[in-house]
Amino acid sequence: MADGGGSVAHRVAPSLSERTLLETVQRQLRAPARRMAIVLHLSRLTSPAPRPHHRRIARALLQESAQQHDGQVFSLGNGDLVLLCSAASDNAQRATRWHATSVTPGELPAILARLMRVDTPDPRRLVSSWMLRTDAEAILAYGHARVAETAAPPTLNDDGFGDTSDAIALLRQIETEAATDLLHRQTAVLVQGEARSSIRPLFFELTFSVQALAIRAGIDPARPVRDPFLLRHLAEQMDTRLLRALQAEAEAPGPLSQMRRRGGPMLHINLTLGGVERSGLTGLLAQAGTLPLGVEISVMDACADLDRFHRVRAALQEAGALVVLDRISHLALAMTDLSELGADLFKLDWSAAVGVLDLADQAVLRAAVARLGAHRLVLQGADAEAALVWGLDQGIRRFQGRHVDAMLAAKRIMACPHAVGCNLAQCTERAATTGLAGRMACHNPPLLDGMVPLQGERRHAA
Amino acid sequence: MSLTLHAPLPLPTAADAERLAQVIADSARTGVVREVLWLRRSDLPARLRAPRHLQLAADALAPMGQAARVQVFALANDDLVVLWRGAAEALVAACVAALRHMFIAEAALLPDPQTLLHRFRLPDEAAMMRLLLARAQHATPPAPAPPPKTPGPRLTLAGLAALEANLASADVARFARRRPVCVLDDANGLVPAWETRQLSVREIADTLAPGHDLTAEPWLFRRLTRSLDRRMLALLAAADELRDAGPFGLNLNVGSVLAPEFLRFDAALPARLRGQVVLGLDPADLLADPAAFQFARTFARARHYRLMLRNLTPALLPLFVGTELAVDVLQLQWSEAWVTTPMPAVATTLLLSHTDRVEALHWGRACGIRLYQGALITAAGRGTPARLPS
Repeated sequence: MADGGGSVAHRVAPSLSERTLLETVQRQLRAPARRMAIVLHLSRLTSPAPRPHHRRIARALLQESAQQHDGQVFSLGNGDLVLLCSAASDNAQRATRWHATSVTPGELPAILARLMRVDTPDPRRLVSSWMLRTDAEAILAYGHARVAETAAPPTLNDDGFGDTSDAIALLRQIETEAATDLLHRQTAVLVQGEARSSIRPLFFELTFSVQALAIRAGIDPARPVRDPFLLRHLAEQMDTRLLRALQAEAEAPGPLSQMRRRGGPMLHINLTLGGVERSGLTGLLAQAGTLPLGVEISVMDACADLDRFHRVRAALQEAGALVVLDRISHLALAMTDLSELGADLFKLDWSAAVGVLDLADQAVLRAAVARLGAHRLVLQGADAEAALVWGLDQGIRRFQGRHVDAMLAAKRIMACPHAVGCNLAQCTERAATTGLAGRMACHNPPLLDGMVPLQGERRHAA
Repeated sequence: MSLTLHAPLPLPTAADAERLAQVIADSARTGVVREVLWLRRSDLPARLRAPRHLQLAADALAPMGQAARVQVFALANDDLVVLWRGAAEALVAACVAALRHMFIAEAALLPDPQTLLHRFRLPDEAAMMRLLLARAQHATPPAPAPPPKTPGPRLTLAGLAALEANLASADVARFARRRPVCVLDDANGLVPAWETRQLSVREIADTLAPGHDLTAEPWLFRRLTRSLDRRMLALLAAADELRDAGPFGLNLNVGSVLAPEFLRFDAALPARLRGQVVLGLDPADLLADPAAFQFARTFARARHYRLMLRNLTPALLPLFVGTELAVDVLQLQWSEAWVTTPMPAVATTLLLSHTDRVEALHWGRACGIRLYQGALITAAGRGTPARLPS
């Protein structure tokens, strides 16, 4: 689309493909043969889509049709793919199939829509199918719009899962950095009563900040390691560092101990199964006077070795820890019955896609939530009001995410006598920090650490 | 051949196996019921296979001499098979007790001697008996037990990088292996359904990373399997590689189904093999990226692949029963834990892998499973599959 007010620096000239598409359409409109256009609007997908495989597979399907039906595929700068090909009747198209299972152009829109179904609330909007003769206006308008486009082209670096060099650099960094400088803290809350403003901190979750590690290792923090398997491997190494920090604090109290006091919110840490088994954590927890701890284990880790997960879960629960199954996407929840896993809490990932599911998918997800029990779910990644609205509608009352962080910070600022010079962003940032340096500017650590009730908080409500 | 059980046991001859095969065939044809007690002396631990041990085990069958119309067959792998007519539960119980008594001093090597005895009934279990008989006929002398192996150094990130570099230039065709999946059918015995094509990780480790324990770091190993997937796909996409191929299966990571190598393989797949390829996916991989899994599933269906969720244990299966998974086959990985686990009602076709022992077959048949894979099946299920079972 034409850019009304963008700076020249952001303007991007249309690639040859846009111009070639337009010229080809104009030329074919003058020819007698019946032609059609299928446009796959990958640019309409919302982040993180389109991912490299969306583009690769879709292009392969379009390319096959192009080869069989005298066509051509255009990859446009905005990410869209366009197939121009012969528009013979369905029967004629079927007669020219390469094999019984190859796809005809007439069948492509439905297949593409099915493929992209998970990534868009309305997959029908993703595909346009135009006959050049009857829909000339639409295809020409589309072509002109692309030529005039000023949006930056998508960055779709497709080098698969990458090599191991970034992971090796991160591993070196894990081994040298102080654990407390790399930890990120986030508070989960319980929404009490009907008013969404009545919230009580439930627990602090400590996570290793891979982004912070990446910055220190000189790696792109936006996507430090592309391979989820390598990330899980690194997580095991991070466990060792985190547990060492916890053990050290048991002897000499430091920042972690400050935020882990009797009467305050519980502390949750993320561990791998290997991390729990190798660390002797259960022994540490069993020591007299140790405060309870929540241990979060990713569902991927658990299901990679379920027998081991059950052993670890039983040992942790025996030692008084709360076991939380972490990183459950709404798709995973719909595909599996996780109630069998015996965790105390389950953390469901919020994404914008959850709020716009079609009716059938909504029903499946609602049934999955009911199967697990809304009272055992924490909706994490609640970065917008919509997450709270959706969650409360499902009966979920535990939330975690940037929107919750902001709500808590607002309440702290209102309650804090020392907050005259503080703003919301500062208070949020200090609450997320575990290192002493990041917290020094706060003059009310007990409030920052949830030791003081917030306004409107009912301390003992369940 | 009918004989009294107190007489010295006959030396095995090919004729015994042939006669037993004939009895099985006759029973299947006529429907005449025969009871069977199969003593698997071939399952005795290596240190309990001296002649005196074999004789001790054989002596335990003595009570069966009192059964009606009893026949004994001695097979090439040392197994003994007793057939009779009518009820003889007390005699069978006496055999079990005798076997336990005779090996009571060997509890460390043979904790439960009863596992050597298997009951069958003809003609219902003719297929299973044919399978065991075929295996007995092709038996090779047991290899001496390998010395206990001390685990080698674990794979590290740097080691993985070196291994991937070596793999990129290695000729992996020599590591390619095929393992049959068979339908166990009462009428026809074992019928090849498809064969799993894979690269032998053990041989690759021995060649490219000798002494290393590749599986000790599970996430690095998974990453390695993805590299192997791509090499395997590239191998299969080579000209003429699949010219004479029958139905086959590939165990892949979800990311591999969406990789450029898969598209090249898909383009090279002969038209007659469309609908004849089974893609096996791992549950943890599915949960690692459910959106990618669903995309891969839709794509694979559009290209007429069959989908299988593999490596399901008794703990994993309930997670996927009655949910929106939509795969064609669930592959259960045999372990004795299945015996004590209530089997949920499953509408999807089941395949039992790791069928290395008769217990697995017994359990699978009791659960109505028809597809099997494992050492027991590999020995008997040779032959080229024609088409995937519907």
